[in-house]
Amino acid sequence: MSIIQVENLKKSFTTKKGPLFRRKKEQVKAVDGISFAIEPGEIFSLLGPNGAGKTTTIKILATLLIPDSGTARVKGFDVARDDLAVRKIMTAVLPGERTLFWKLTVKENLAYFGSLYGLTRRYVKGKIDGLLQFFGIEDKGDVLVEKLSTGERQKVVLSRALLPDPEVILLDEPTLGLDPVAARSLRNLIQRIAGRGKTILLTTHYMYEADQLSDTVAVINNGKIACLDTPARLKQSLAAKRIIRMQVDAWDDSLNDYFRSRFDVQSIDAGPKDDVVQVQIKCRSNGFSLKEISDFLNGSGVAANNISFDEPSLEDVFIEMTGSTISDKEGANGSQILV
Amino acid sequence: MEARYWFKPVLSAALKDVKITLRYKSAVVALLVWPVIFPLTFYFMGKGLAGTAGQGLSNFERLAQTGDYASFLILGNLVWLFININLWMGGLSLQRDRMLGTFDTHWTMPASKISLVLGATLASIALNFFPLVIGISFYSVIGAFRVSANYFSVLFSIVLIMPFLIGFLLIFAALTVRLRQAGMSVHITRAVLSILCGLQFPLAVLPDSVSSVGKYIPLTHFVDMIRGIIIHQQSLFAYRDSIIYIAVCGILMLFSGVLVFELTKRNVKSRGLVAGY
Repeated sequence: MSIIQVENLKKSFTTKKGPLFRRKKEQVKAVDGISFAIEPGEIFSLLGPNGAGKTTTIKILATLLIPDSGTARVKGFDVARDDLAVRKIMTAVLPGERTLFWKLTVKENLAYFGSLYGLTRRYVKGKIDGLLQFFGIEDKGDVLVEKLSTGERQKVVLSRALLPDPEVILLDEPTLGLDPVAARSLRNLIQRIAGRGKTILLTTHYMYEADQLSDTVAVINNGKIACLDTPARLKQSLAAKRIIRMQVDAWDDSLNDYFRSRFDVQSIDAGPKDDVVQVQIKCRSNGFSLKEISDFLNGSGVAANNISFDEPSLEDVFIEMTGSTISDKEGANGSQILV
Repeated sequence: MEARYWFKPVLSAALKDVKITLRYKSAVVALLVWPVIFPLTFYFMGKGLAGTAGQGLSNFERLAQTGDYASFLILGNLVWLFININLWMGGLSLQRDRMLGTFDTHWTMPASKISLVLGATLASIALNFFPLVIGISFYSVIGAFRVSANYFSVLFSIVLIMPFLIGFLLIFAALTVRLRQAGMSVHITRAVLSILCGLQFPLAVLPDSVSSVGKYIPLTHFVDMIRGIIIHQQSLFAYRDSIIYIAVCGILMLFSGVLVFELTKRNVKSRGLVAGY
């Protein structure tokens, strides 16, 4: 039986736009009829650009928002009606490093939040050392949070999330703002937490993160789920089996025609970037070699650099499903919905 | 809801706030100095109006029913401070949580949100208890104020007003949650209360229509009781009607406060106002 079940969830917000005194109300659909189910022990990612509806979804599950319609259940408890029961079996890590009290030490923070989870002082005391050891910050217990690095603070936040031994953990953009090393370390820790049998629902707009961590990925865009499956199956579902990427000094229709006739091409995208032309060719088959391509380009008098063959990535899945890249979407969304 | 989500969070929130406050050295100094400094202006103003030989006292005595203007003013101001501590700190604690970034996280936890508000108030009372004692002692030592009251009666009066204050503070907390920034409404309300309840002057100086409104506010009865008990050494029996009135209003205000807070909680969760600042 699924531990989280979301069915036809909808949430809209009224926003005001325009200059002062002439503001017009506008209804924005943040989440528009999404459904998914998460099995116990699974890492499930909601992947999408800012303003796609990820945070709204996670806030509904975290009992911070009441949906307009549809249902969201955690272990059978309705998040809108049985919110207390949900909060007892689930913890949430919200974005930002200011979710701790900076003037308290790590242990004082954990003891305080432990009591808000209804845990006994003895239980919390026994658990803190183990958690700090698990996250590799056992020497930071008596240090004020304000003296920790961003990565260390995020580890304390994760320690807090594990304090009550929850069955489900919600992670909203857990690696946002971390440097690459700290982000990698945190991703490893998230995998280890899942290894303890916890169910994890995380939101991210990093393709690599979703690909590396998730058992299941739901690509969310404009409040709707565009596709949902394991990362491997999502990539396999693409018609393109191999992607050729290269930089050339010139590109024309005759080159397009050659590649289309020879390599069972699904699509060709060529566009200027700096002083060169960036070319991406998605092929339905992979029966060709680097030498064949470079010989052809040389023979055509085209100077090519950085030729690479890639397997389709989640980014390609995202483009296929939504028609643009995640960064384009973020640019188009402009001011994101902050709820 | 289970007791562990109610009572323990009150103590933990209080302990947390006390620890954080005491880690700011300047806040500790301010806490100790404020109850001494704050009534001083009013004390000297009273002294100026009374005249060097008390020649201006007769009018005050007629209006305030006492010639001990110093005790009258200092007590009124200390009560004002006490009410501030209770009323505003709890409500504003949620606003502070928003600014710190810990607000949403608190709301994802099973602990009662009312407990967190009460915890902040408890911390404020704990942090201000000794400074208030220091303030009273200071004015006793300089001879401006005589402490010869029945302490049980004083304590009883304070406990009696608490349900009213807690109810009021929960309504303010709800306002803070709903409006996100309730600072200005707090300032206006406390100024209006201070005027209507005659905390810093005799109520008799107000026009009849205004002072009659003040008589319906339990705080007016409370400050009247405190002044009577401390300045005139009156017994609680002399205030039987006020005691009943404060108790009944307190219970009604407490229920209203809880109801308003719970309804506001649902409202902000529907409108998406839990997050952000």
